[in-house]
Amino acid sequence: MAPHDPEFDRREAQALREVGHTDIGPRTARAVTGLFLLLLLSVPVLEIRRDLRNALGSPWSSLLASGDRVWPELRRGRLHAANRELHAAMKDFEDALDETSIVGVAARPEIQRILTRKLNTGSEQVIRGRQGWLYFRPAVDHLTGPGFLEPGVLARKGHAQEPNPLVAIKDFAAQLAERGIGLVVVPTPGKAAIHPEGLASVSDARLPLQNLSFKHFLEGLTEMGIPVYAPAGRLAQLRREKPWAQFLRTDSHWAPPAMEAVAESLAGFIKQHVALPEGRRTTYSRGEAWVRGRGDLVALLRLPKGRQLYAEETARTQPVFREDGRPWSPDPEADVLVLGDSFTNIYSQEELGFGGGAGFVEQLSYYLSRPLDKLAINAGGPMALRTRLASDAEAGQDRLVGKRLVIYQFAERGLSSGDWSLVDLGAASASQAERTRRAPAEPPPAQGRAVWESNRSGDWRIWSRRLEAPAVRKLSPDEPDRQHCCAHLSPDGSRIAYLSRVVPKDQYPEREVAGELRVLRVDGSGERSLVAQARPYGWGNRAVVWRDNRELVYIGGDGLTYLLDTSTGKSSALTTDPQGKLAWLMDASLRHAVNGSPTFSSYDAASLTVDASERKPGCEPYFSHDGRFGFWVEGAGGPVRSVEFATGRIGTILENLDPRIPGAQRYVYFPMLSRDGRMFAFGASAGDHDHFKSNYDIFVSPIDPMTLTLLGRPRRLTSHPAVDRYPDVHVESINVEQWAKETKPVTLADAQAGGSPPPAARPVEAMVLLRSCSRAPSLREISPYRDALIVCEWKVQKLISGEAADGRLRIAQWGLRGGERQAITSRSPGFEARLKLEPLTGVAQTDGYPVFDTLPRDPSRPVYFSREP
Amino acid sequence: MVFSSHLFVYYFLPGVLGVYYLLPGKVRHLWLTLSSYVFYGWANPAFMGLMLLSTVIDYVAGLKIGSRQERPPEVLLSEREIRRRKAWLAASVTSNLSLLFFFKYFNLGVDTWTAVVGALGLPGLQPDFTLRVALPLGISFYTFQSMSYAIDVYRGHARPLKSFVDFACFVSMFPQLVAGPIIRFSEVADQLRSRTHTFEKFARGVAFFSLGLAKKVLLANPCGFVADAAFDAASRGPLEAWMGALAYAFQIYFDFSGYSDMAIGLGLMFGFMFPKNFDSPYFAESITDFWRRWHISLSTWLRDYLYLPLGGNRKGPRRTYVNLLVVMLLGGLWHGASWNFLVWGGLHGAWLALERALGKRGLYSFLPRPGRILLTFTGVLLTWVFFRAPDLPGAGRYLADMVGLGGRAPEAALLGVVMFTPYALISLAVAGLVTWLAPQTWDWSRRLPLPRAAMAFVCLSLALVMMASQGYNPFIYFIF
Repeated sequence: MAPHDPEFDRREAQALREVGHTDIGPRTARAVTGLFLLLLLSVPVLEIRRDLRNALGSPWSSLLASGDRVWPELRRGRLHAANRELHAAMKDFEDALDETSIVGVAARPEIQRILTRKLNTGSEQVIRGRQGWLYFRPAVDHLTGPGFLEPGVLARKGHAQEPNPLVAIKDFAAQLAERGIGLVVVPTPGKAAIHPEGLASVSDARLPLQNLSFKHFLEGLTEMGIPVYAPAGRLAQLRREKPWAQFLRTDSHWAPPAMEAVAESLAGFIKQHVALPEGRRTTYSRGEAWVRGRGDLVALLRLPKGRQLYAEETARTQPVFREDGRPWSPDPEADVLVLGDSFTNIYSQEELGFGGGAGFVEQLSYYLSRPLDKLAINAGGPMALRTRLASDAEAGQDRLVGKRLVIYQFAERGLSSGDWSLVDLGAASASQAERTRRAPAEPPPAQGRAVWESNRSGDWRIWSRRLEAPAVRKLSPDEPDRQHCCAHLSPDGSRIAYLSRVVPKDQYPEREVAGELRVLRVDGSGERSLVAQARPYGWGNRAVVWRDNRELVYIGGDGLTYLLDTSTGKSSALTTDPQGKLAWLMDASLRHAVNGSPTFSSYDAASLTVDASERKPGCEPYFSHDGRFGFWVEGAGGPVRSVEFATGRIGTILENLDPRIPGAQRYVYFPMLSRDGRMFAFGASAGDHDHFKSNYDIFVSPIDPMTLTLLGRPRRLTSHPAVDRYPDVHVESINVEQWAKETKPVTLADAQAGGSPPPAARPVEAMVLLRSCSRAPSLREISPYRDALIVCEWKVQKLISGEAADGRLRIAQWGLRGGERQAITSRSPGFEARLKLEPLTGVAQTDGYPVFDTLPRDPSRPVYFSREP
Repeated sequence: MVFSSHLFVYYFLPGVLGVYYLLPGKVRHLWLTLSSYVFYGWANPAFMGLMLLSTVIDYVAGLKIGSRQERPPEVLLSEREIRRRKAWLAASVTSNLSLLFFFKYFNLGVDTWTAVVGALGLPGLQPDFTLRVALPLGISFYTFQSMSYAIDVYRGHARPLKSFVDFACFVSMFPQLVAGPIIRFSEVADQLRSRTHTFEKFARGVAFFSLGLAKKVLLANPCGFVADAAFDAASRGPLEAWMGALAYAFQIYFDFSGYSDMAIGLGLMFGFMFPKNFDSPYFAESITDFWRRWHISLSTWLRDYLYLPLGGNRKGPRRTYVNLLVVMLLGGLWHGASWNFLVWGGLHGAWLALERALGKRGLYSFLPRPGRILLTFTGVLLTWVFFRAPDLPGAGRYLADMVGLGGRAPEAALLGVVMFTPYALISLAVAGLVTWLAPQTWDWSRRLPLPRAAMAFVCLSLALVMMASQGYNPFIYFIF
């Protein structure tokens, strides 16, 4: 075609002339092309190779797994929701790809070292000031930026969130006031506001530096009648009066004396402005400790390991002790709750690097002489705290019950950059909870115990709590340099087996390290060593399967698997080939085996051999104790899948970003099923993936042992900012209906749809003929239980009422009742009966009993129960 | 997905290139189209439907407008035929402009209406809905591109494409889809039908891509860091204000010209040759000269499809000035739905009209060349303040700070350390040197002996390493 416009001729001709002919030799052209492609291809090849070896999955597997979230929405015709899910998954994928890029991992520290050392420049997050001062850039931007209450700024923040902190705080205060709770706001300044001298020369008289809108913000709160204590004034005064720095030089937080002075001043403010009931007065004492740590801003520089440019800082703290001499701890019964961020957690939470027991709340408690409750989330922003309050209340743990005052501490920079969306604290349900608390107590929906491993004390220790009571306690003893893991409850829930090893605190060991296998009672007493050398199965902290209350399966330090009689201490080998990184762990039936990767395989106890099956993608596999199911985490942070061994059918226990889990948890790991299969426990993190640093909490939910389908929304058992992981759970009683009623919606589909649960199968009456029954379990298999149900399949000869698909019905019978074995084999195929049947899940007295269903066909078909023998 | 991302460089690009060259010629456009939709949908999958809708409308309109084009030129069209062709052209232009106006200007319209009726004390007339419209990526580019096709076919400058896949490939081609250059159908029509793939072209494409990526990652991003600090501050001293404006001038130039270089380079890798989009704009000696060198694909588009249809300079001087002003105001609005862009366009339009009145000479044509370049650059730099500032009052404050009339809060003293880091100063200095001393990519890559090829690889490698270590990576023109 010949364009007619001379201008087009000119532009296309120009392009042809300019780039159509390049003066380059053919060999150079080929070399440039080849080298370019080689450069581009080498990175994905290396990354894919690395990802294939990574049991925890890769960004790709997470992206592919997102189909599980997108397709259901598409099938429901919810295009917008499907698009949102897909978009979020793609963004997460790209972020993960960037974060794990081999080029980035290798280049980032070195580039930062050059920028810092040679060019005296910080990073995108850290400003390198004079005389060794480091500053957090968002805090400086808050000071230099436009007023956060200016109309233009509020308008630009968009319409998706509430941009005005005054509106959000007013709403928060109003919700608290409805429940008779007061609020004190404590906006905490950043370092540059008090110590700008590392950045510029500013007269002391002009301190503290403030955002243009800060004064209006304080005035706005005062006009609304909300007490506000701004520590900036006190800190600036200290800055002028005292010779020492009020902030750490290489950390973004205040120094201990400044924090203590602010706590004292705030205590005075509260006494003056807030009418608190007398309450429980307690006298605390303070000690002295010298702590040494590396500032968080040094870590944010992300310099190469071992090539730090900044020395550790030393600070003198004053840990607070109770009257009985024990360290101060938050009191859930206290009538004052302090909400805070890392300014509250520093010197209190050891993970922040500057010791514990001497933080802001401890000091405030000391000066107020009264116990305080505390909820502090590092780097969560001002909304995270309110969101946590709401999600905890939703999960049945209302932190505001019994409170009279909430102190809301947050970093001032959050006023400019934080999300101030309004959060509904669930006042109605909370009021209900309050009434419930004051009314005669109803039996809790579940009773039992959970154990898990946590680094909340600095070292990894085994922790425990009752399902029905909030108190958490450390069970395993403190011992230097040893870390505890792999807690497993005995079938009767009376004892815990765990490993004590010398391993790093901050990462999984490269090779599995053996340590001492111990057992102790759930009250923490009676600890004794079982085996000197035992280890986990690799790629996760699971090391033991209790076969019954006496015997357990463990992996020896030599890579062989053993069966140990805990009463005699005698072990017998279950395998003959020592394994390396991944070693075999058998289930209670000794028919299945798995190692640290989901290689659910057959085990032959006679020949002591494992017939290894193909590995499924994922990690952290384990078994249901009835020998029917395996389950594991399929991708990075979910989903949690199950496999039914008899049929090979794959199910899903928890989805990625499962909406049933409170608090928008992004990563789900550490799945475990209770011994009776009625309760499912897991850990989940709403923030990052890291198993050693992220804020994983423990959740539990009732589960249908027949199908491994959750029967209610999971509830949060722990809410500590440290890592809580690898739980085990024992159930003494459970009322699934009450649980489900309190935590609706109960199914994944309902949670996603926000609607009501689908109608259950209806009762059936029919003339039936017995066709076949599940394999009768051995005594050993059912020995942990007092009750068990066996499923048989019946052919419908005449349907009297109800429905029966394909003319077949699966009906459960007692196999074990009250510890007595029932005569389930006395009826042969061909036996006829007229039965009135009810759906198994609708029969209260059978809910949650272990069901043995090894029939090969249609395991998803509803199971019925006949009340008549 | 942006060009300077891990996903694009290491996964998307090699994947698309690999399959493209493995496929036979006939299905390569289909593959390129599908890949381009994935590239586009990565920003938001829902937007793919919108682009498909625009593509279908223009494809059908093109076929309908050009259905009788095969007849010999001496055969005149009937009145009915002319009306029919005009109707289809109107359908194409109206649908494209409707999409553009709805997605780009709805929010501004609602906000302005709300503010006006509020100011007039008529709150009852304020809209009682809270609908906010998300701006689909690159809609300004592909609607212009798509519209030019229908207009070119109508004018007889191009024959309609019969293959829908070829047309969809033209509209969606990922190298230039979301930030230009705006490719007119006439410029690639022949290449869509037939083009060559050679190592020579590919190597030149690698050079373009490497230099473009280096401009973006090594120069635009650090300059952007400095510019953001200055423009996001509540107040600043004159030094910080001028340094911020200078940094922004470099940022927008290297960001956009770097993107254009990468687009041209990627086009070459797929056998396409796209026209030049930048021609050393900061060498301009007048504003008229500047607009011959800056975003050439937009300025020529506005000239051919707006300025000339308005009458250009054929209807007398006064009408010419009005036309220039109108075109630049609309050009400003094309960049975004804000009063800032309108003022920016108006200033350029007025300046162009003034120079036109002086016979296309600069106001300072009496000065030696360096003086003319310096003054033009300074004027452009001042207008960039409106382009970058968050709103009109913000632009006013910024300009006041530049001349020392703004009040300076003590907090502004902190800005210096943020802005004047050695890394930032070195980046600004290198950006200045490259702007005024280095040859432009087109000229530099015309000859690619081994040392230059090696230098291109050094730039590429440095850019890739820095790309992996930077979190700050905005593309300015993605939002237009």
